[in-house]
Amino acid sequence: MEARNLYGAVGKAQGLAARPARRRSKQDLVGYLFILPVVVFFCAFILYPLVYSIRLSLFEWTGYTKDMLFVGFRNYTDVIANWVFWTTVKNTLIFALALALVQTSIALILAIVLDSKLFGREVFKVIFFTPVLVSIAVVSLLWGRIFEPNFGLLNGILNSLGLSSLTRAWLGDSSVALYAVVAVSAWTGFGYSMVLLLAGLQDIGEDFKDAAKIDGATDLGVIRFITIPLLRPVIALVLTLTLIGGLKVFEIIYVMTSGGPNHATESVSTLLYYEAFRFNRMGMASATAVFLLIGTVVISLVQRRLMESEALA
Amino acid sequence: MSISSQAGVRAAARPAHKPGRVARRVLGFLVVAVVAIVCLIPFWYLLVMSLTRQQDTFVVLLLPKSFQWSNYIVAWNKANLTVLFRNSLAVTINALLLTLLISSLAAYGFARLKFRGSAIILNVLLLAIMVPGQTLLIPLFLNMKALHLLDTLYSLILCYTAFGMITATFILTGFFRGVPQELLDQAKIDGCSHWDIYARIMMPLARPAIATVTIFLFLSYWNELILALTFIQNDGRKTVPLGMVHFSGQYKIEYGQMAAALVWATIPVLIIYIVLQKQFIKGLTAGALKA
Repeated sequence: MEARNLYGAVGKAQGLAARPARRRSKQDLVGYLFILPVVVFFCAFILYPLVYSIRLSLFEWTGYTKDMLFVGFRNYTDVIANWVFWTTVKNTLIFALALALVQTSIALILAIVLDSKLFGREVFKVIFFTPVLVSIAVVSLLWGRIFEPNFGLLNGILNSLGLSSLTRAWLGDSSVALYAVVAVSAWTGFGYSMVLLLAGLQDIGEDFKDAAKIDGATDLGVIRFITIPLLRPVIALVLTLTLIGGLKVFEIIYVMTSGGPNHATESVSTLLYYEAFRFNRMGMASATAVFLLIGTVVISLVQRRLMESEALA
Repeated sequence: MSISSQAGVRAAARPAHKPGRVARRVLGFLVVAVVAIVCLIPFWYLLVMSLTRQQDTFVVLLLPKSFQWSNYIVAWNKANLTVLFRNSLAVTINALLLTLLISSLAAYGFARLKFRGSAIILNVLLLAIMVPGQTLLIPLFLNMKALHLLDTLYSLILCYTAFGMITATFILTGFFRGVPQELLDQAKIDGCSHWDIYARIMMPLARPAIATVTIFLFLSYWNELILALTFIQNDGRKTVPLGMVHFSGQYKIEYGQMAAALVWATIPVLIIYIVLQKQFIKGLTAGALKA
C-alpha cells in the first residue's frame, strides 16, 4: 500500500516521459538487472509451481509413474464430495478463529498492563516473547509430553490440585484435541501479538490519556474510550495476521496429533500433505491446495481492503 | 523502578494515589505474573525432565529427583546433533546470504531506479506474500526431484530464499527510499555507477535494516519444518527441527534423553536472544508492520 503510493509520487514527479528514448531504455535495462535475481527466483519457485499446481489438479497421478490421466474437474468434485475435506475446512476455520480471538485478547490485556509503569516491565516483555523463538517442532514435542494422559504435566497438576475429574487424554479426546492445539499455538504466539500491540500503544502517547484523566476519567474509562478505539487499526492488524496464519496451520498439528483422533484436528494443510505424500494422490492433493490457496487469498484480500478503508477513515 | 522527573511532575499534578488505583496495579501485576509462570513452566518442566532418569519419568516432577547429566551426552550422540547443527547452520547461513544479496539488489532497483513496469512487478511480489507455502509443496517437491536436488541442502537453500526474499525486499525497499537523494546525486557527480552507489553507499547505510531482516530470516530459516520434512529423508542431511521430530518418533526413546535433545536444539536461539533481545523483538515485528 505504502510502497505503491510512494512509487507513484516519485515516478510522476521525475517525469519519465520527458527523457530521450534511448537513455530511457538503457535506464530500464539497469533497473531490470538489479531486480533480475529476485524475479528469477519468483518465477522458478513461486509462479511456476503455482501454475504447475493448478495443472496437476486436473490429472489423476500417483507422482511415481509416467502415466498421468487427465480427468478435468473430477478431483475438485471428489474433494467437495469428501466429508473429510469438509471436516478439515471446519477444523481450520475453528482453529484460526479461536486462535485469533484467544491470542489477541490475552495479548491485548498484557499489552495494556505492560504499557503502564509496571515493576519488571522489560523482564516480562522478554519472558513473553521467548516462546515465539522456539521452533514449532520443539514446542509441539514439549507440549505433546505435557498433555500426555498418564504422566504428563497438565494432568499431574490437575490431580495434585484435587481436580482429577478434569483430567483427560487432551490430544486423544476428539472433543478437546483441537482446542488443546489452539492453546499451544496461542502459547507460542501471544508474545508476538503483544509486542505489536505495545508498539501501537506507544504511538498513542501519554497526552491523550493524561488529558482524559485530568477530565476525570478513571483508568478503565481511559482504556475503554481512549486506548481501545485509537488502537483499533493495530488490533485489526493483529487479529487478521493471526487469523491468516491460523488458516495455514500445519506443523503443530502434524507433530502433535497427525490430524487425529479420527480427523478431529486435521487441517486443510495436513490433509493435502497426507493426500500427496502418504496416499500418493497428487491430483486430489493439488485440488485441495487450490482450495486452500483461494481461501487464504480471498481472506487476505478482504483484510487488505478493510485495512485500507480503515486507514482512510 | 525509576521515575523520571517529568513523570514526577505529572504525578504531583494528579490527586494522590487512590486505593482503587493501587489495587488495580497489584491486580495488573498479578495477571502478568501468572501469565509469565504459564509461559515459563513448560521450559522448566523440560529442564527437569532432561535431568531425570528413565525410571523416574513416569511420575510428574517439578523438581529434579536426580541429576542425570549424561542424558545430554547420550542425546547429543543418539540424535546425531553434530550433523543436525552442521546442516542447519549451512542451510541457514547460505540461504541468508543469498536472500540478503538478491533482496538488497532488487530493493535498490525498486527504490532508486526508474524502469517501466517497476510498480506492477513490486505489486505482484506483494501479492505473493499471500500464497501459503503449503499450496506449492507438491510442485516444489516434483521440481526438486526432477532436478535431482531431493535430499540435498540446496533444495532447502533455494526454497527458503524464494520465500524469504519477498519480505526482505519490502523492508529494504522501504529503507532505501528513505535515504536522502542529495547523497546519491553527489555520488553520481563523482562518477559513481549504480553498482557503486549500491555497494559503497547504500549497503553500508542499510546496516540497521539489514540487521532487522537478518534476525527475521534467521529465525524462520532455522526453525523451518515443512519443506525439510518433504525434501529430506537422508539422516546425513536433516536439519535440527526435522531431526527432533524423527528422534522423538524412534522406537523405545528415553524421555530424559528426548528432553535433553530438545534443550540442545533450543539453546543456540536462546543464547542469541538473550544477547540481542531488543533487536530480536524489533526484527520480528518489523515484517508485520511494514507489509
